[in-house]
Amino acid sequence: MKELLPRERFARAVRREPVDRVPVMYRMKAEAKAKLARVYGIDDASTGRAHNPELELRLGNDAIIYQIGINADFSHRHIKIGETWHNHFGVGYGKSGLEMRTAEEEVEFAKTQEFWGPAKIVPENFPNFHPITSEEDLQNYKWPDPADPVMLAPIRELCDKYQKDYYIIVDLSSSLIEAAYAHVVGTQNFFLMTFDKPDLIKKVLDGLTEYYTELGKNAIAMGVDMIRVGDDVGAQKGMMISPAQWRELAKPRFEYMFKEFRKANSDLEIKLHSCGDYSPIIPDMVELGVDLSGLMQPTGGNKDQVGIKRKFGNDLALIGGFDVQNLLPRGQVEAVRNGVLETMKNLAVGGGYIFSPSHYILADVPIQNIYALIEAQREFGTYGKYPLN
Amino acid sequence: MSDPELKIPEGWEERAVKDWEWATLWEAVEEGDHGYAHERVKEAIDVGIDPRVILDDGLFPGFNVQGERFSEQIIFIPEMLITARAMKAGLALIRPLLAANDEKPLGTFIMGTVLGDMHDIGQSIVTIMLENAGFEVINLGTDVHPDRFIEAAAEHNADMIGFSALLSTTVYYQKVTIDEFVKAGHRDKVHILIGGAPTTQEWADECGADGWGGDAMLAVNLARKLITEKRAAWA
Repeated sequence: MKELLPRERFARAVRREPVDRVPVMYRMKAEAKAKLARVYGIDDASTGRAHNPELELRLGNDAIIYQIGINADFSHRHIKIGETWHNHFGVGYGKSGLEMRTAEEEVEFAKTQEFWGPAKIVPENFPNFHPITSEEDLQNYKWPDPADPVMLAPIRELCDKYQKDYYIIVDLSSSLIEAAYAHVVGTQNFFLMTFDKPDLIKKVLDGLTEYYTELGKNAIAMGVDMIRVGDDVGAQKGMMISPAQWRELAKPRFEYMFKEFRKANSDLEIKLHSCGDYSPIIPDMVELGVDLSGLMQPTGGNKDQVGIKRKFGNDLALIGGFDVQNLLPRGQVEAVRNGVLETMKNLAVGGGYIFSPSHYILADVPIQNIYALIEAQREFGTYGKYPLN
Repeated sequence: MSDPELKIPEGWEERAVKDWEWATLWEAVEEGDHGYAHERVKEAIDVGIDPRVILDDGLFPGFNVQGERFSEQIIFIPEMLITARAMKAGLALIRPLLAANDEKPLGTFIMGTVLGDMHDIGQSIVTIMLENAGFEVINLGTDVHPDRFIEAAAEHNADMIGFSALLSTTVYYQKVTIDEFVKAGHRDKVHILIGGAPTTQEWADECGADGWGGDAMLAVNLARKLITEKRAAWA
């Protein structure tokens, strides 16, 4: 097969049509990206809303993914210790990890950020204030503006600059259940309130549905190829909430959201992502007409990649599958190579697959492992050659 | 996967008072009705049932069956949380009475999420389950510096410590914290258990922990086993 343009390659894989080689998608958190950008001599390694895709394209990404919504800012922002920063939802975020660090420890910490080894600890930003915990909060709550140009304007720029060659994905980030529990309501609050205040929970989810539907439609109007909706309902070994509760709380709202998206552009492709193991609801995703999903955390509950591929590979395309919990951060180079080979054998045969680590590449990944990953993906990801012949 | 059944404690009638029933409390704990659990335990105390009996015969059956269902993924986090809350509502009334009867906790357990990590839903569930299993648990919360673990272990004369971590970037601090226990000369005084999504038995061995809590029930069972062995070794 002649060499395809990246955007064709990605689009064809999503539609489960033949491709020349397995398309790829690498996403990195700021620390990993900065480390790698030094190697490639790229000065601007911005993440978040200032996302510069140049490094990812050099690594071979076939699509550009740009994140908006509730997650877009907080995890990429520098928050000072002891400070709380509020995002456009009014959710407060603080920083972990440094609260008790002395000047001496600060020096020790700097040493752990060595170039070749894993960074030993990386401070993360976490929600520490949740704006809606009562009916009164909800009544006084002002939902953010889904037409906010600050969030939307960069999409147009990315489309103008890259869409000729690359597939453009807008990631709405945590869009429903996760947006509620992790951000707007708070985790324990949310889970208890599904029993104690079900009406309040439903109203919060309705508000989120409305916001994300409009936000998505605004992104679609700019001509994006795919909307990615992320909503973490999987834990390491199984779901956080029951499939029945998911079908009650999430499914009808996604159904509405996706219908609206498709009304805006009938060719739009949709990815629904959750971290962890959400295998019990993949059939529901198929029903919702999801084009791409990534139940591919190989260290989690359902590890049967071949089985998932066999069962659902005709109904949706799959992405991910390479272990980022143990193998990528802690494996030896040869083990990383073998891991890529295994993933390709399990998932890429027959097409309909996009190679990707099962999540972001984090700061704990040694740079030699990132190299090994990319090299092996190039070596084992061509159709017509081992292991895809 | 069969749905675990509630185990009715044998001979409970003899340990209660005449015309007493526990079935509604078992059901209340199972279904997470904390208001009723509180009321019913109060009544049981008022009619003079032994607090230990209230705990074992009244509260545990509903809690245990939900714990098993949680392990088997028949119920999920919200259901487990409301059951734990109902159990806690009863336990809050009983605990002072147990203490007054000179009943000692099974052991003292310090729990926390390691430095750098703010995730707490998993360790909160394990904390509640350990408390319900009879441990005194001091939960240091999230983002806990190694020094704070060591200080708390010394202050409370702890038997066990649990380190939770959700991120592959923070599990490393389980090892760092264990190393700090070694440096502080406190490692031999405690059992250290680790848990969290990216952790494995191999990692537990590598980082020098005494055990791995693969899920909430495994963690509680392991803690019970280790404390029983420790007590036996001292006897």
